[in-house]
Amino acid sequence: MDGLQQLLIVFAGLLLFNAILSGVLWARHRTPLHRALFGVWGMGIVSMIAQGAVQSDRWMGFVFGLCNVGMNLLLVELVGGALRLRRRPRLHLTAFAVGLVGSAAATMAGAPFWLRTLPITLGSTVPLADLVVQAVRLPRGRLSTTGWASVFATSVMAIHMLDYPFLRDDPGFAPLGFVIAILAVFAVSVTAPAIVLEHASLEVERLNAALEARVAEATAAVRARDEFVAIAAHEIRGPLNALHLAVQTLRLGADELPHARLFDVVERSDRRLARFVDQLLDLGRARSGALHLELEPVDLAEVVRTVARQLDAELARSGSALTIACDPAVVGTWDRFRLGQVVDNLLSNAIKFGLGRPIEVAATTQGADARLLVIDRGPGIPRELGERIFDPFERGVATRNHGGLGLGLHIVREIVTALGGTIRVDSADGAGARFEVTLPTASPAAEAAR
Amino acid sequence: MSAPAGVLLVEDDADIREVLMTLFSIRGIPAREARDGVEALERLREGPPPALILLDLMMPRLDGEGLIGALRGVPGLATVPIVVMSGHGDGRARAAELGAAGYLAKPVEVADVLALVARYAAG
Repeated sequence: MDGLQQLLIVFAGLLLFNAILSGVLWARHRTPLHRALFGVWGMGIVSMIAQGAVQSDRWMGFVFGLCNVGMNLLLVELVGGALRLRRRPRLHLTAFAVGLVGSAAATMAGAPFWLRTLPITLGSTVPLADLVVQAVRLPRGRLSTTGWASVFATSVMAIHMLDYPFLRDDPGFAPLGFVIAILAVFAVSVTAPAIVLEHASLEVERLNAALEARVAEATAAVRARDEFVAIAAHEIRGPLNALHLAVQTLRLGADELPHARLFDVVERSDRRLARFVDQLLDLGRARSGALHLELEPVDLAEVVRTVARQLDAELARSGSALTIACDPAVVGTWDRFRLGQVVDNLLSNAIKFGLGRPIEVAATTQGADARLLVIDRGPGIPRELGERIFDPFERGVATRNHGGLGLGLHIVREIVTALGGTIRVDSADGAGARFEVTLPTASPAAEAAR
Repeated sequence: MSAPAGVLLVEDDADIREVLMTLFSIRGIPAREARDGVEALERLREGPPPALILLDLMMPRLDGEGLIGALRGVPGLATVPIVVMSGHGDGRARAAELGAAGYLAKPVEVADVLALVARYAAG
């Protein structure tokens, strides 16, 4: 047995071992990558057998070429799948078909060895080369070391494919051809299972990360719900306590009882509770997108004046001086009640957080839009909060010390958005807050059609 | 130093304040009110020390605990009994921690308030 045959036997043994092992693994872990791995070695063995028979039957060379193509297509599926590269089945199968036809024609025409085998090995090289080119173009750091190792193995395999028609039959270069072949088989032997393993590990990591994210979401949601319940209870207790005390005091039946004042407290508590319930319901509606708007011509300036009158008592108690600066009429197609809610929420916040300092409200027309400004000189909004202040339950202050569910601004934003407008806030820690609402004066439907 | 008199009510909810001040008024108990810790300290500087401080533990701008700390440092005020009001379940424990003379759970009962006032700030 000459050295060549010995080498072939070593080859065959290596391939057989790989094939059996990968077959067992595929049976155990039924993943596409394991199947591709098994396919590579299976095809490799068949091609080795065909290789051995080439001398006796020139059509065996054709079979050998076919197996190589099959093997390489599977190698591309394996490496491409593990490294998540783009699959190009049309390109690969076209190259394969062209190679097939070319080699078949050459074999029928009785062409020399290299011409018989070249088309099909070229067809086989195209998918390998495509994979390598894709890999090389990827951004830095996208592939791991194992990934690069398998790309290297693929390149060596491609070189082996290309040199085969020329080196195989040339006694002077045959050893070089074999060295390259051995290198290719070893490289693929080592890297193919390695990337399957790496791929599996990465999948596990990905799944874990996704799971952790879900758990974090769920935990945050539960915490938010618990906080919501605590705050809701607090919001309800305030007016309830006042109501409780007022009723008990009234029952004392003392002569000098200031009935009117106590009944005012009862009424205010009633309104506070009703308002809170409305906020809750609005929150539900805003979330489910069921914010129903009744559009009609509304004068924003008039709404501002009305709301200011309604909040007169609160204003007086806070000590804030209110300045209203409105154009004579700022008319648009809006929902009167919801617009009132927007003004009411913004102004109430300014009163609540204004520290008794002056508050300004302005309503003006700016071209096709109406603009509402509410400016207070309270402690302002911490910069870290930014736009989050419009998110539900975001309250801008430490939880324990301030009442309120933090729904007001969220509802304001939902309403403003539904009316086709925008809201923004400018605030610096310690320097008050300036809320600016811009609303198109045309109806949202007309706006959408624009 | 004049004799301690009356009640200082420190509570952020305006309606609760209104009813309690009304209550004190019809019972002839001198009372002052403050809406937060900062105002409370102002009131305490302006006049004789109160005989009793009713303090809501959940308030903005210097919470109840901060106020108690500030009070203990002021001579003449350190011995004024403080009764804390809280809606949280742990109020009793926190009252003990803070060295408060008593604890009122919200919703506060008029009878309890009157009893406390009678005990500490009568006449």
